[in-house]
Amino acid sequence: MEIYETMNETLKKRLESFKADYSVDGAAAARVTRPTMPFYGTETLEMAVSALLDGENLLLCGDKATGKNILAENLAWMFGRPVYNMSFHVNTDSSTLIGTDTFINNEVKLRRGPVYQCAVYGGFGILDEINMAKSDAVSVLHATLDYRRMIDVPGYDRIDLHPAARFIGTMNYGYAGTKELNEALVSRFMVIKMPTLSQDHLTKIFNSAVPGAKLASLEQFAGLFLDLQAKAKNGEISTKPVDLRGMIGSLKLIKGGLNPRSAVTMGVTNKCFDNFEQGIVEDIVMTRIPKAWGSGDVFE
Amino acid sequence: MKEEGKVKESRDGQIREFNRQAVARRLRNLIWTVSGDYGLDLPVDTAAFRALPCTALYDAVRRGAFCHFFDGPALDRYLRKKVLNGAEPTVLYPIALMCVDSAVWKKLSGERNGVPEVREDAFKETLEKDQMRLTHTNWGELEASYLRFCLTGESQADWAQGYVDQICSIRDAETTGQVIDCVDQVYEQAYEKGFADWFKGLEQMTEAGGRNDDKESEQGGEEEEQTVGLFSWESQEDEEDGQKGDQGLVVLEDEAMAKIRDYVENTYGKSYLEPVEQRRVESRLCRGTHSERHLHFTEGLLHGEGKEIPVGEDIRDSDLTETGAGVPADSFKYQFAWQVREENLRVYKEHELVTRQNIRSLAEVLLRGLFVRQEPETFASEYGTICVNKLWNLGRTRNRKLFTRKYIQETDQFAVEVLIDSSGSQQTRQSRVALQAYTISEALSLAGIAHQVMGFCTFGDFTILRRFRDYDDGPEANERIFEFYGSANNRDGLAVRAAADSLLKRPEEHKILIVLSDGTPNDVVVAKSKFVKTKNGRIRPERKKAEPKPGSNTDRDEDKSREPYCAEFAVRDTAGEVYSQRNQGIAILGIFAGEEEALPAEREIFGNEFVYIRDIAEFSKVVGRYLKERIMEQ
Repeated sequence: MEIYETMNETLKKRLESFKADYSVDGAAAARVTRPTMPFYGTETLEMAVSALLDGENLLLCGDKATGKNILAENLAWMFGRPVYNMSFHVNTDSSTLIGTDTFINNEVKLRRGPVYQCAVYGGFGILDEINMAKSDAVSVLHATLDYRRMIDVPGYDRIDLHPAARFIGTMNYGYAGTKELNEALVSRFMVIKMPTLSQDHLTKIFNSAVPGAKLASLEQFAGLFLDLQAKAKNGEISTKPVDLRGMIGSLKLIKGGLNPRSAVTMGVTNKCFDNFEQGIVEDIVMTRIPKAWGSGDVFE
Repeated sequence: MKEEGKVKESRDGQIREFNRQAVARRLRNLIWTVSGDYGLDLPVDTAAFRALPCTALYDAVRRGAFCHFFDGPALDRYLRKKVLNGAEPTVLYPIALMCVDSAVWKKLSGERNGVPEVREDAFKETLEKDQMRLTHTNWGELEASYLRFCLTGESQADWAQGYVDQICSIRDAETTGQVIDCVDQVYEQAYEKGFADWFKGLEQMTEAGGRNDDKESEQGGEEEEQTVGLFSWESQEDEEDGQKGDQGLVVLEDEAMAKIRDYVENTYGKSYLEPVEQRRVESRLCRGTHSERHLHFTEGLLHGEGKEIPVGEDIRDSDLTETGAGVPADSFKYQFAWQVREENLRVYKEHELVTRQNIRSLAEVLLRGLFVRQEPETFASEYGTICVNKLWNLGRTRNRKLFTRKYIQETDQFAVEVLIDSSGSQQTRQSRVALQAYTISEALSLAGIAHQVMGFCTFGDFTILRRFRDYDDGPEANERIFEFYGSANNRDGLAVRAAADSLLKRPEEHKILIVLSDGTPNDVVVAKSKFVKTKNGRIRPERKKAEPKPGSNTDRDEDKSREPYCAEFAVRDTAGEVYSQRNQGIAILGIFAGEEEALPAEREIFGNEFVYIRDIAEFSKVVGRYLKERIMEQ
């Protein structure tokens, strides 16, 4: 993996020895998966790897589209650990995370939740949008994340965390419904503030998500994304059109044969539901993506 | 019929004004995007957009690009100087724009692939729809030749082709000096030495008082105020109905400025923040447009660290010599604040029964919403608490959902801030505003929703945020709202920023800001010694001895903070603030109780989330409805 190559030698050696020390249980082997795209940013990667090697948990904070989840997935892959993804939403409670009673072969047994499995198999638990977690869910994390490294399952056993188990929280200030993390929870993490993506990184991401595009054209899409990001940061538009997934979706449609302007309209512009905001976004698109462009102008 | 006509005319006027503001915002955004500098404040021509939309859009792109690649203010300074020395602006500026276009388009096209298409559309549109201007004078024809040459690459008339080639030769220019040289040479050759004496259009120009060297000496320094600019506002002051003029600018001596803080403290009460905290808050919030401004957080004259006066107690019965806010109890200001409270209380007593009824029904609406939220939601699941009456399914059906799970919403999830415009415009209805705010506050207290009520106004450099009740205060604090009165001006952008700042610190998940305003942010700009009065009585910034470093943000912030905070500028600033706070996750509802003429401005500020109330008595109902929707929605 390209990014892995640029990392410093000491960390690489320690990473190799970590992988050698902790093998993956067969039951969880299917969860060790190659991420959909690599993470670009050696410095951030080194910070994250160092923290995880020393047994710390990570909290990745950053704006929309800074690659928080991509980094988390890449870290799990680099450490060769199974991934357990937990998306926090209003219905996530302690029983969802740890597990609770269910029927297995006509017997009431414990249905093991992702935190439980992560603890047993030494996985990497990705706590997505951790600041959406309700107090009930947060209480589970406290004992799991600190020095005690154990989970007490009501009515069942007390289990200790596998030495290779780590938790990576991601959060984004500013989404509606998010709240400030309490001090006790934050103190259980090492925090990385995710840097904003550069044009170069964005081009690489687009290229890796939708291969086969011309570099010069991809730069226009990356530039468009950065223009929108700057505009949202300056409070001129909302963050709705600043959507990396939408941009990648547009590129996929272009690859499929749709003309670029229409694809961007679907993937980006139409995400604004305010007419004036839409006008502003259209103007930026106009300076980047010519109307005359066809699919062949973007892809080889 | 006449009345109907007037109403229609007023509506049409509002729509026109709203569209004009929307277009201006769109063009400015294009300039900012291309230049990459959101601090730029270039003039935009909204009238041109109506006639030639593609041209106006491309003009914004072109000027933004020039500021991106070159030094826009330097070219502007050259043009101004040139005009002062007798150059004809109607010839010089089109030449300058052609040179700007030539210098930027190739570079910009490399960065933004859509630009050649936009440029082509703009040039075609100009040639097609602006023929009158382009054929009326020979310098118009020169511009037409340039546009045609850029579109087709075909040679133009001999006399024009030389100039066109000269302009096109700077497509790879790297310095502003090269562009200025080109403008200078083309102007000198084409106008001064070449066609000035025989070109058509000259007569009209001289009749209009254009090129007349004799006037230069007579007008002297005063003419400086009338020059035009591509990259600054200077010349547009007169053209834009005085919007960017010295409207709302008041010059105060330094001595008077120093006394403003004392005055503010004596009039509105001392700050409840410690000096260190005060400085920290100001350095965080008073930035950009609001740099060099001050925030004054107070609980009013009747409150503070000292003794509080219970509601209903007559000041004359009290043995106070000094209030908690450090103001003598017999001072005029204190007496005034007390009388206002008494008057507001009198109005409340007059309508006490109705108000109580309103509070109860509003609280019930909110409580019902909260109750529905708190109701545990039970749903069938494959895990959770075993459901005995479903066990017959085992081995007989494929239904595996034999368990139930309960989901209980957390109750303390809402924090509400009510921000009320306390400027002079509210004076005529202050008792009714106080009564409505009290109704809302009481209902929120009964519903157990954490809320803060603040009033805001601006005096001098100080934006005063008068806190009537804090989030965690008990219901007894609600009666402080009766101390509400209107005075001075309103700097809405800064007030919204300060209110949102306190709301963002709250732990509650859902943050709601309700702003009651009249839709016309308006602040007097107090000019200190940095401004001087010109001979004709106008006010302009004092010229600095050393030339400012181009593009310096500090200078720009300073200039912006001295911009008259009114009309479009203030609306744009407040709208930007509302947008950026929404992006932080705060739900903002604008409640508009002003004149209908200000509706477009209110719409620009709050987007779709605003309500127009003709009668202030509807305030609490509208807020109740909105809060209920929010509670049910989340």
